[in-house]
Amino acid sequence: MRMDEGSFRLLYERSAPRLFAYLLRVSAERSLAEDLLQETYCRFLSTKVPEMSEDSQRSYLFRIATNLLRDRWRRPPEGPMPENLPEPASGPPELERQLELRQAFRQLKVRERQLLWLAYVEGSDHKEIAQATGLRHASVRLLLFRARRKLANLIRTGASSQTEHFK
Amino acid sequence: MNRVICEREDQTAAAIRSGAIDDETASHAQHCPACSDILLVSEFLREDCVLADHEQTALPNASHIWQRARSQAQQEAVRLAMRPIRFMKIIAIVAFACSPWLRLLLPIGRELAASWSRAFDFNFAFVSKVWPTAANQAAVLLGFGAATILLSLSSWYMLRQE
Repeated sequence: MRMDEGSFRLLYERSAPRLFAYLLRVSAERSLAEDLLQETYCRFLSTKVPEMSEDSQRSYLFRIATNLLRDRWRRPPEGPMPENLPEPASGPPELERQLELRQAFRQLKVRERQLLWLAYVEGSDHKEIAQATGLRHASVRLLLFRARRKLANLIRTGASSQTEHFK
Repeated sequence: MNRVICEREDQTAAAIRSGAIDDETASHAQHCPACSDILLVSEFLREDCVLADHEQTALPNASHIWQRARSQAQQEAVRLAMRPIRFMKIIAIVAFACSPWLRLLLPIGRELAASWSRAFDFNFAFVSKVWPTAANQAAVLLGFGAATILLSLSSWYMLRQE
């Protein structure tokens, strides 16, 4: 094992919430996200790599998680994709907006969701995204642009249809 | 899809990440399609990230993950330790399966087989008869060589695991 239990707990407390949010949104399946989270940390603990800073550890964890997600979606689906994300707890208009926006995000491909989340939530630069996803550095910019344009259009469409709905 | 690139994309994204969007960036984003997309998507994803944080009612337990990782590490250690044994088993099975053909095909095999038969009959005279021949010296050297390599490999695997 690459660290003792105390150090692992500390790392887990600091990194797990963000990693879980990433897995949850990209996989769109809570049980899968939980499995992948556990597997990510198990793989992280079993790798024999030299000491690294906390930022590097975090980015390494995202890299493992991204690879696991890629392996998962390469496998044929075992059944219909469950929609078991909990509903947001808020009032009806806000709830409807949140559901629509979430639906918009789910319409993207897994790769697009990954790129957007890493870029705009985790704040990773193109080089870090390329390392995490295994894409070429030059491809990241273009793919990110396409994903961003697609999501922006979906959000605008969703927002405009909602405005019409409330008129 | 037409590609619209703005030179200030990175600057806009950095401003959003830092949470401090200055007036210049904000007014630029109003007129620039690429930067307005970045603003819109960033705002949406950050909102979604907050929601995702609220949904984390119960993350998997750290102790559970630690135990699972430890168990996996132990299984991997056992697997690695067993590798030389598995390797030797496979060699033995292959050698056993091939021995009848070797006996038929190789003259040395025939001679050794005959010698072994005699040895089982407690006739040890074959040693003096067989040993000095060049073919058998080569076979013995080959055997020593193979044994040395296999022993080195096994030791390396064991020490590596330790």
